[in-house]
This record gives sequence, structure tokens and C-alpha cells, in this order.
Amino acid sequence: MTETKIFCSRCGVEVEPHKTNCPLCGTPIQNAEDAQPSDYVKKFPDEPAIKTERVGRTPKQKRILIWEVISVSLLLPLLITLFIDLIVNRTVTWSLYPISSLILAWFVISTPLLFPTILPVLYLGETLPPAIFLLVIDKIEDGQIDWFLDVGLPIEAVVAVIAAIVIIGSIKVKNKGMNIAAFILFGTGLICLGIDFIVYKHIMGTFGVSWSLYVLASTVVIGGFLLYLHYRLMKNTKLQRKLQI
Amino acid sequence: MNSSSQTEQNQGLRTPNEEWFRLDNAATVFSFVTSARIPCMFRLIASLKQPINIANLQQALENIINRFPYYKVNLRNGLFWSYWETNPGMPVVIEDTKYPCQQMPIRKKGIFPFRVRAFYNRISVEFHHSITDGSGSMIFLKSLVGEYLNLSGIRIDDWQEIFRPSQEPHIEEYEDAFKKNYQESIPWPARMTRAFHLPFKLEPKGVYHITTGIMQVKQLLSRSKELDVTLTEYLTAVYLEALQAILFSLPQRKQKRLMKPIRLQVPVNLRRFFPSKTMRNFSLYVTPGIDPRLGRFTFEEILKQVYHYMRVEVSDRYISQFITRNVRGELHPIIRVTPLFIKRLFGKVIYNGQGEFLYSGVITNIGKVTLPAPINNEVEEIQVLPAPSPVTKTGCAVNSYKDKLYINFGRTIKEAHLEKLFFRKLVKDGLNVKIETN
Repeated sequence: MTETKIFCSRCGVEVEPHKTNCPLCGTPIQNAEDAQPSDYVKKFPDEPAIKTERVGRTPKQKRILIWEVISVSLLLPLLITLFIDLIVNRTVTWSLYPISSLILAWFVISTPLLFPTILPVLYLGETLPPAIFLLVIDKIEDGQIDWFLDVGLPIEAVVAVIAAIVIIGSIKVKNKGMNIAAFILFGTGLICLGIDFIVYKHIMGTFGVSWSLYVLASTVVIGGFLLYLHYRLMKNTKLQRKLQI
Repeated sequence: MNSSSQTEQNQGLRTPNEEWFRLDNAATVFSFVTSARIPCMFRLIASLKQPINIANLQQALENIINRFPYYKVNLRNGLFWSYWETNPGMPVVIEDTKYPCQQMPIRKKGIFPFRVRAFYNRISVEFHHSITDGSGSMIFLKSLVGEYLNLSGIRIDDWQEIFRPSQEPHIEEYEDAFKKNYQESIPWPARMTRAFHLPFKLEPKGVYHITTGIMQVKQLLSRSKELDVTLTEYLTAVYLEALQAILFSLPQRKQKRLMKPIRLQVPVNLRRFFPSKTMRNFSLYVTPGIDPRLGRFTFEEILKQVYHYMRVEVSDRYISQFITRNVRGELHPIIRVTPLFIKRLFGKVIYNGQGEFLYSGVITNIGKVTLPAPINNEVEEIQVLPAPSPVTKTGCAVNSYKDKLYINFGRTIKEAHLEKLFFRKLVKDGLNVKIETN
């Protein structure tokens, strides 16, 4: 097959037949449609894919592997305490405490590893198991529910509600950066206040707060400072990249 | 020869049975600076008449690699220095990509310092600069292509300088030729100032545009003969003029800020001056240039400058000074006992101070590539692509094969101004240029 040569009218160089513009100056090629030899072989593939030699695990595979390893490692202390308890007491007694703690840890770790993107599942996975754990611990003691309804459940509820507010606020806010840290600080302060209030009521029988005011004061001041920094520097800040969590 | 250089010579040699060997001087620097922006990868391409059979190419690679034990290695970290360790794995032929010379995770376990890619009828070999230079890698490419064609049923009687799987590697191929030719007593070369660099924004990491200019060797040789210079000198002058034109086309204020010497890095194969069989790094460079602060040079003035510069500087005496400067640092007792991670920190600073920042571009002439008779019927093109650079932003590799000359520009920026000016000048000088891109 005789090859028709095509040239750039400005640069004077011959260009490849499949080009519509000159690769040097960008000028459209005049007679591009006249010359389209079908047997022309390109010199490079079109895929810009940047390939690495090793095919590693995907992020999902990595997460599941980590989850598996953690699950198995949590099983070890669980079995050891269970067996020791059985050997010494011929029945399951004190080992219920470490076992229930380990199961709680397993739930809390599993949710973000298995469902990292489904927000409602994440939220429930991090708030429900602690509540159930507190109930179980209370029950193990003497088979009765003593303090769970008075102290355990209210504290759990306060933590869950404030966490929900902080999460939603952090998602809704436009410029993410140090303001998220401030929200977390405010939330921590409020949780302390709630815990203090509930415990005070349980012990003293009256309404009141004590130590949590110190916590609240410092979190409000530091959180306020972070908010100030965030919105003061927001215009041309690079901190978002630098401080990404 | 005195006794100290005799021991140095022995240090440079490693027997093929040893499982590891030291990095040479250039390799140390390249291993320090390598990153996604500075991949230190260059590519050699052979285009065959027939499409590539991947299975055959893989077999050819497996056959030939044992002839190159110094490339069948993996970079490992010691406490004070990195070293090459024999890699028990087998390199694998992989697909080609649009952008050549991608970063290589060279410090990872099991990674070879080179890769072989195939696309349709093209075999590409990409080498990390810390393992070898253009000279060693070209022998590897030729040997790989030779073995591939041999497996494909081409009968080859005369192999010339091509390596065959059955041969034993020569001990001198392992040689650290920098150390062997190190002269302790000679002074350092003079320091240079920073050079002009193209003021364009870099493309994202990994994007590398190739512009290949293909022309008849004869035309170019007769043009440079008319001007009484060598081919390299002519192309160097064209490159310098293009850089100068870009500098003078900038807006006044920017021009004033960037007004610095325009200097090119022209690698020199040191095997020409210091006999060595080494298959590892053994090249340095000379730096012809002009100083635009003295006014705009005409092409004839640039040519004259380059011509005389090359006549003086390309000599074993001056190049020895650079070897001495580079190797002396490596042999200093305090530097030797500095932990590797600290060396790596300073390595980057030294590379910036003594390396890339002093040059506005690179032009490397691999010269004439030849293949013995039945092979060269099957191989249509041999090309060389330069390593990407975020500082000089463009680089250029030149080689000839059969009756064609290939000028490969690689750039890490979008703008092709330099290539445009360069090839337009060649067209203006009466050459027929064909342009190909990736």
C-alpha cells in the first residue's frame, strides 16, 4: 500500500496519518481525511494506566484481612480466660467479664472495618453494643438489674445523642478542617457534663454537677480557639491538606 | 600505578558468585533521588516487523537474564549504604502504557531495576538509571531481541557483540569503573551557577509526553558537515537556540527574573576514554551553553561556542576531575559511617545543587546502533527515550539505526514550544522530519 504523507502547513513536518492536529503547534491538518491508511500501527497504546508491577490487595481485601486477624487475636485471650476459669472453678464465673469486654471490643472494631461507608450501620454498630455490654455486666454481678437503668442507659444515651450531633454537624459543615476538631472537643465537654449530672443524681439523690465544669470550661475555650483559627485562616489555608485526619 | 589505586581496582571487581555488590557512584545518587517526579527511568525500544509473541518474549527474557547476573538484582538497604542483592525471582514481560518511563518502586523487595514491556510490534526495555547507563542497557536490548528472534526461528550465525545465554559473564562486566579510574590527587572542577529552566507548569505525576522526530541520517550528517561540526554539536546548538528563543519570548518581568545561563547536559560515554567492559554506570557529562545575559546569540555564535567548548572539555583530563569530585565524597570516612537515611536526606540536596538545577536540558546521543545481518532485517526501528525530569522539564535522546535518525523528546509539561522551535529549525535547514507522539 502506498502511504500518503501528510504535513503540518506551519511547521513543515510530516505527521502521523491518524493525527488531526499538528503535535508541535496544534494547527489542524489540512488534508487529514484524504489520508487514512488502515494498516497504520500506532506506536504507543492509548491506555494511560499507570501500572505497578505488583498487584496488591484492594482496600476492601485489606480491610477484611485486618478484620480477620483482629478477630482471631481477640479469640485467643477469650479462650485462655475461659479455660482457666473452667479449670479452676469447674464452671464459668469471673471469666464472663473479660469475655463480654472482648466481645464488645470485637463489635466496636468490626463495624468500621466491615461497613466503612454505611453511616447508619456504623452509628448503630458503635452505640448499641456498649449499651448491651453495660446491661450484661450489670446482670452478671447478681442476676439483677441494679444500676443499668439509673446510670448505664442514660450515659449511653447522652453519648449516642451527642455523637450523632457531632457527626451530622461535621458532615453538614462546608469547610472541613480544624472546626471538626472543635466540634469533637465541644462534644466531649458536653458528654462529661452529662455523665457528671447522671452520676451526681445517682449518688447524691439531687440534681447538680461538679467536676465536669472544669472540663467544659477548657474544652469550650480551646474549641473556640480552634474555630477562630479555622475561620480566620480559611480563605487561603493549606491546613486542610496538612491536617487531614 | 600506585598501590592504593590498585586496591581500589580490586574493590571495583566482584566475582559472579557473590550474592551482592556495592552501588557505583552514579547509582548511589540515582537511588537517593528516585521518586514519582524523578523516576530515573529511561527506555530503549525495538520495533520488529512482526507482532510480538509474548510467550516467546518471556522465554527469551528468562534465557537471557542469566547472562546478565548484574541486572538480575534487587536494591536492598544496609545500615550505611544500599547494595544490589541477587534477585531469586524472574522478571515478567508486561503490557505497555501510553506514558513510558513510569516510576519503579525500586526499594521494594523482589523488584528488578528494569522492566520489559511489549506493545504490538514493539519491545521496550526500561532501566532504572541506578543499575546501568545507555551503553549497558543497549547491549541488553540487543541480546533480548536476538534471543527472541532466535526462538522465533530466525537462523543467526554471526552474533557480533550480542550476548548469548550460553556465555559466561566476564568478571570485568561487574566493574565499578568510577572507582577504578578515581585519581585521588587531582583538584575538583569549578562550581557552576544555576541555569535557566522552562517556566511551565508540570503535568500530573506519571504523565510523560514523547515527541519523536525521524529523519534521514544522511541529510543531517551533510547539514552538519556543511557547518563543519559534528551531529551532536549541531543538535546541541539547535536545542540551545530553541531554549534561548523561549527565554526571550517571555514577558519583560518574567524574562528578567529567569535570565540565567542556558546550559545543556550532554552525557559522555566514559568507555571511550577509560577502557572498561563494565555493564554498569560509566558515563558523565559535559555542559555546553550560552549566557543570555550577554545578549541574544545568533545560531552561528551558539554553534561556535558549542564547537569549541566540546573540543576542550570532552577530554579524559577534565572528565577525570568530575569522577574525582563524585567518588571522593563517597570515600570520605565520615560520610561512610553516616547512616543511610541521613545520607539519603543529603543526597537530594546534593543532587539539586550539583545536578539538575545547573542544566536547562539534556541531550544524549547514543550514536549509531547496529545489529548483525539477519536480525536487522527483522528489526525496523531502535529508539531511545530520555528519563523524565521535573526540573529541566524536557530532555532529548538521539540515536541512529540503519538510515534513520531518531530524536526523542520527552517532556513533563503540556507545552511543546521547545519541540516546535527545535524541529522547525531542522525543517528550515532543509531536513525532512517526521513527527510521532504517544
